[in-house]
Amino acid sequence: MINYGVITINTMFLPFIGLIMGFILGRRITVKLNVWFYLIVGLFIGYLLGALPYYEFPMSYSFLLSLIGLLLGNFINKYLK
Amino acid sequence: MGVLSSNREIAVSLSFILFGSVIFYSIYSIDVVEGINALYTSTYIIPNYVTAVLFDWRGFDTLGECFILINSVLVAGMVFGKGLFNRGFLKELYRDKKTCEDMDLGFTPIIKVLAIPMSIVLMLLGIVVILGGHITPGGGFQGGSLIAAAYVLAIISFGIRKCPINFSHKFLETLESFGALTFLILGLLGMAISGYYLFNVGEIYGMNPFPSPLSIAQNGSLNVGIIPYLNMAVGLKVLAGLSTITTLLISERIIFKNIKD
Repeated sequence: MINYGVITINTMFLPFIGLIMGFILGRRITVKLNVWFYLIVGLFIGYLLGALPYYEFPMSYSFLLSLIGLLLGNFINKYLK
Repeated sequence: MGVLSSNREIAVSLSFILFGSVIFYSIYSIDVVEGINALYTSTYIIPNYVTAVLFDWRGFDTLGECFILINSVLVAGMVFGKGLFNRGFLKELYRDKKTCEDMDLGFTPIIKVLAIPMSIVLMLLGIVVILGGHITPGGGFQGGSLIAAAYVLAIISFGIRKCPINFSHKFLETLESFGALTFLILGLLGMAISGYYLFNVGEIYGMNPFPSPLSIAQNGSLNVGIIPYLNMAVGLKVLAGLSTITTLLISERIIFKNIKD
């Protein structure tokens, strides 16, 4: 059983802001990014970084959601513009 | 153009009067309270002492750093920006009939392959450092510098024209203005509620300004206040400022190349 940590509005507010900031930066990246490569690398780096203090997550959700926002922004920039 | 410039001048004048009077009022009735980080130092929710001094009694200090950065960007723009936006003066100086064009600056394919993943990881790390600035060593300045470093890496590897990270002038200008104004307005919010500029507002009409884990509240404080928002404002401002300086300095190479020719 994987422990995902306590997911509430209080704990996910900070990663959600990371998603927005990642999206803003991802909109400025003009090259096409390989989604699977960055997701696997992001999972690995997020696990190594670890969660912020008081956020009892198994890995850095801020890093992961920032990555997802960046990839989303890049996708919209490349395909839906 | 004329209407836009006059509107901008009015906005600048009003901002100058408003924030200038607030700062003078604060200096006139100066009274050192526990400051922006009162919740942090009185309840010891911080995990280490680096975080304790991060924003403690340093709201004005960070504000001053922001203004220093704005000034440095302005000076860099005045000194180096002439070659970026107006290249006509080079022809007059050096009698060169050739148009001053950008060169394809860039490194070898090995560096180009590695630069994009490293830039993206640096950007994400910068976002994490900005977001965790209120409970870890770090903060807006460090995180913004990391994101600007990612931009510098990309721009050195690919050259300014083919850079995969496209921070346009308008984008950087928007980020810089947004960051600086957010910082100043959050300071005004503290003044409106408590009477002290840049006071850490714990709650606004009973609402938590920044939802955070309950384990922070169990340590005695209500919440983290507005410090995460201040970190984000400083982070965006530093990112925009350092990226603007990089763009201005890298464009200087064009002028040197043309002078050499």
